Amino acid sequence: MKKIVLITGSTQGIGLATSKKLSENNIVIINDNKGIDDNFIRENFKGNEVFYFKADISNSNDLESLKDFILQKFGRLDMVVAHAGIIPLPCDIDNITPENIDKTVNVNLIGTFNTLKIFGNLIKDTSKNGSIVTTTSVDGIIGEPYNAIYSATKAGIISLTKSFARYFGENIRVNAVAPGLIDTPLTASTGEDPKATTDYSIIQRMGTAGEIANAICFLLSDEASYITGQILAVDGGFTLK
Amino acid sequence: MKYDCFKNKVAFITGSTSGFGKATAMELAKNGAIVILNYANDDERAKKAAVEISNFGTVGDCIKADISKEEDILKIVSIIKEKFGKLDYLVNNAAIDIGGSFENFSIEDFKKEMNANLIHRFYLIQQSVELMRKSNQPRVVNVASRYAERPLADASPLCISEAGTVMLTKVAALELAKFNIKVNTISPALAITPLTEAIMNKEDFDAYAKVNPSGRVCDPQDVANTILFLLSSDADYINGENLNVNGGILLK
Repeated sequence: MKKIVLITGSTQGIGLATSKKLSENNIVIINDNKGIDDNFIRENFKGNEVFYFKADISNSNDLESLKDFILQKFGRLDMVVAHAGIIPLPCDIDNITPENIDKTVNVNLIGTFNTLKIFGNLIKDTSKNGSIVTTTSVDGIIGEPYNAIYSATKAGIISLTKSFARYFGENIRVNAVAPGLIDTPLTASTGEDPKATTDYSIIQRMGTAGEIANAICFLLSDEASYITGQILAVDGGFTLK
Repeated sequence: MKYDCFKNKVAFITGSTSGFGKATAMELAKNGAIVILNYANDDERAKKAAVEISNFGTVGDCIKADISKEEDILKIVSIIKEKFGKLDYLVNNAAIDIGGSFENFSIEDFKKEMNANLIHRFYLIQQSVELMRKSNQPRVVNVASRYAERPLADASPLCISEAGTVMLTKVAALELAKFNIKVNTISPALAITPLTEAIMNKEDFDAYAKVNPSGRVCDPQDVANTILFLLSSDADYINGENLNVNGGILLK
């Protein structure tokens, strides 16, 4: 039987690459807060069973509607990739605005918490064998002075991953991937010079969205059935320097 | 077969005729790799393991060598060089555990264990670099354990050598990146293997399973699955990491 997988923030970059890979063997619910073109699913998923639901993870009502949609359509949820999040434009600590702080915390930290709570409980109530993967960042491990609040929310996601792993225990595994510098539209939008950053990576290149998708799919799978509460950095060795 | 990247790759796994090492060798063989087994003492068990694994794939050799001895490390490398001319995957799995309290541990035993579990792991990687540079996907996985992060009584060199193995991985990843050699650690938790069965009974295993967030002990297959992932092309961007396969035990 195919598994039902929800992946939030999945219409571009890492989320899209992951949903493409997951859709090869599962029924996948993709999501963002913007809406998609009529052709999006057909163009990206080659006829695999993929459904879209618009929801802003910082809005609990949206998440409850998404939950109702999943219950009505499938009656069950097996796996979640809590990927949705925002990266604000780089900004030093003295100039970070209260609005920026509120928005980043609301989406990345509180939104991820609500996603894990609502959909983790849905897995617990409807599926026997569940698994969750969150997306943090190496910034959440090593800090980033030009994105201090973003990094703090990503550190918060590391803690949420461990708390939820303990909370769900043997019922649902919860793990995180911590991408390093990955070549996606979102990282390009921050204006960071890829050359400057690849010099830091000891293997001298950016990672690809597909490489993060590989790690997420491994952690979700039964191959990883004894791995829970872990943070897997997929960074080419970035954090070694 | 789960992966298509292992075909005709040469893999050497230390301590691979039982437990984690055997499960890993079996899985690699099933996925098309040529596996080179290793053991220290038990000829009969080694013969049995080699036959069993060769039913599912290719066993390139089964080398009797004691990783606590420096000359045996060199013997391993020279055999692989002569027979295969390259090495794609090195899995530093074998370890020894000489129990004893901190205050009474003999310095000879301490050194022997540090040699087997840490110093000769370094030496084996170092001596394998030349052979691994002939590979197009060279990888090392070091097998540590949860004691790398949390101490256990009456096993001081075990804990210290496992913690050292995690750093061995990082320095090797850093320095060998120029040869495209990627190095990672996996830290399993307690599993039922011949090694642990010799010192624990069913009640001990049950008690451990009860306190583990996953509600069970580790299965060697869990370890094999994770090692294959880390060796595979799916893990091309993972380097210097330590992945715990412990059911979440370190969360407590």
